Amino acid sequence: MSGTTSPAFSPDYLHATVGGDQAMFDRLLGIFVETTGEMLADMDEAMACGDLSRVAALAHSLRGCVDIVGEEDLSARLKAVEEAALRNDEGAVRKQAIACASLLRHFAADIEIYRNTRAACRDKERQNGQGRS
Amino acid sequence: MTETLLNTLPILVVEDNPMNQKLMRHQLRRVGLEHIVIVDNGQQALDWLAANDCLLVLADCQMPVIDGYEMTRRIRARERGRRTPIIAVSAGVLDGDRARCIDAGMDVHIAKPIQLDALRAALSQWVTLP
Repeated sequence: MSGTTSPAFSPDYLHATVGGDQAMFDRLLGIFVETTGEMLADMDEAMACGDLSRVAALAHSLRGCVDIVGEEDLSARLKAVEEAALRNDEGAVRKQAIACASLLRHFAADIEIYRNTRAACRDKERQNGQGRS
Repeated sequence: MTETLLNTLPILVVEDNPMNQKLMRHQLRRVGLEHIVIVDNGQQALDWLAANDCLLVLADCQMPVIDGYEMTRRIRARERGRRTPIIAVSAGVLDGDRARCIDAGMDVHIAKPIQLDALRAALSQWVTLP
């Protein structure tokens, strides 16, 4: 795991996973942003309640999401949160989960910017295409 | 059951993560399999299998309620006649992870997130893919 810098989204891994299907790629990114947002809100709630089994389950699910987009550093961090929660180490969970959630929110925001930029490019291409026809 | 009849049966996907559910449905369609049923955990899979049959099961290992290992043990315990192929899908890629899947009665293990080639290779042991 490297430092505390938010990882940047790299599209190549997900492209390969979906076999180059652009529509599915876009859909999965949308699902990623929506799903991780909901799970992180649940994680905040579980942390506030000290519900470590819920924290472990959420960390596991979040790991499933970041694995799909090939983000290994976040995956390792989430695994550490899950393992700390499973051994009831509340101190370690608090320390690691807060940092991890912050990085994940930045990462999701990065993906959202990527999606919006792509959507804007597609709109522009469409307008250019209509202008030519 | 004849091969023709078997091919009319669905693939049962057992996975709790909504993003993985969508990805797995997409990938199965991509390799030419359209008939897919998705449930959220091992308990739902057991309930579904009590009333239905499937071509094979594609199951996550770590799930809430009943995990993939326990689900497999229960499927094997009540199985009469045809053995349902069960493909384990998990983030664990160590020999110990694979051994745990096989010990539970799963037939093969593929790593998550699934890559299309690995899925195709696993499925082709039981399904004639287009």
